[in-house]
Amino acid sequence: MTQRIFAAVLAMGLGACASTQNAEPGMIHDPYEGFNRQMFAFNTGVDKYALGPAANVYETVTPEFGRDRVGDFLHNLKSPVIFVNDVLQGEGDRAGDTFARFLVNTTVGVAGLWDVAGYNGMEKHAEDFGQTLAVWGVDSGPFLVLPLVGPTTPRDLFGAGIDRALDPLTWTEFDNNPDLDDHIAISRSVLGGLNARVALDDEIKQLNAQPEPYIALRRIYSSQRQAEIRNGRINEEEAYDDLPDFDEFEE
Amino acid sequence: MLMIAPSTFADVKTEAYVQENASEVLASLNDPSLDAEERTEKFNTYMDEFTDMTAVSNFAIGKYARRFTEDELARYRKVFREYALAVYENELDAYRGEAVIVKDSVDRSATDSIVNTVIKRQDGKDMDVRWRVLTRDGKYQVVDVALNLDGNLIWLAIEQRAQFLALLDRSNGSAEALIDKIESMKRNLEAEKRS
Repeated sequence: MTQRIFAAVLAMGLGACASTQNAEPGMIHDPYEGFNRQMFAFNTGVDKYALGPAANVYETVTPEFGRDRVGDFLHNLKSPVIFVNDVLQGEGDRAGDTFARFLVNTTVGVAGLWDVAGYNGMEKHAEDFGQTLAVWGVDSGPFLVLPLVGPTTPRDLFGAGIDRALDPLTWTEFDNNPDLDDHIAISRSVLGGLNARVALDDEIKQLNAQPEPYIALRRIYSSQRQAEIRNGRINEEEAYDDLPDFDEFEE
Repeated sequence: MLMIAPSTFADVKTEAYVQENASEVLASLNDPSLDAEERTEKFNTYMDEFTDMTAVSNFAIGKYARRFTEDELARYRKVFREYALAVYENELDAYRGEAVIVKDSVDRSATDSIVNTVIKRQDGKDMDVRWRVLTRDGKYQVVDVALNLDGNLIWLAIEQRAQFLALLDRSNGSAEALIDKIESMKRNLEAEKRS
């Protein structure tokens, strides 16, 4: 459903990231736009000639059922990091949900292959240290697009590094196979990337059809991050404060 | 199509306006007696009355509304209207919305209100949709629509403007570049339309 709306917004030429609360549309700090546009073009090329075709093959050989299991499994692996960030943000209820989901899905859900908790009303959510920093009041810094990484900010980039450090799998070693941890990490990244690319196929097509795909991506990234930081909550009292005047350019 | 005269009770009147007209728009898409051409014609007729397409098209190009020549502005508005209607038809059709339920509304000023609604869907995945309604010359018209995407309010016209302005800025304000792009997007949408 979310993806459908997302695609609709893009189809409107509306790049999706919308006027977010407390953020005047168009006011995204982007002092490195020239560099970012070059990296965006590079990433678009990588997607067109490598990631996209690879995802098509993956989609062909992996039925939707299998991709769903991969998605559930990978999300379950993130639970420890999500839990820590829930706690660091003072979100006790969400931390409890994450903990309970992890227990249920790892056991009843066969090592996380089935999101049993989700089917029973305990909806999943995501958290990361970039969001935690935002909750703590750290400014995002300028918008950046990095090769292969994609859209980010210094805050989110630093946060991703901390999340990696928080992940137990980062520090797991296997006595009888010292390379296994690296193989797991690579497999996790490749599968996660392919799964996500398949899931976002419609959105990426719509993005590339936009009048200004770079602007669309910048706005998508920035406003979605703002919504994630608010955990999807809308402050209704301020929701319409920043709307522009519609008559400003009337004849 | 009902046009309700504004009163001191703007909230109630505006809510009624959105309730009735949005429901009619959805009903036009769900009418099984219409073929594709009739459906599009009826939908466009409703949308032309329900929305202020001239205001939205001007808003979407901001300062360039004053810089385009009369001819450029006329051609832009024509293709923008066709494109916008095609988008709305395709997407609202895809949502299979059944009914519009008004939740509440907020007055930003005496002539500028937001009506919060839920669009009930056949698949049970209801949508949170917010309508910005302006009152002009005694007539209500919608100028922007917001979708709530997991707590991210996406105002469609504002997003459109961000991209159109960027394209115009990067093409030295070329109306032709924008019109060509919108034409291209419109053709793509028409190819996707339900037969």
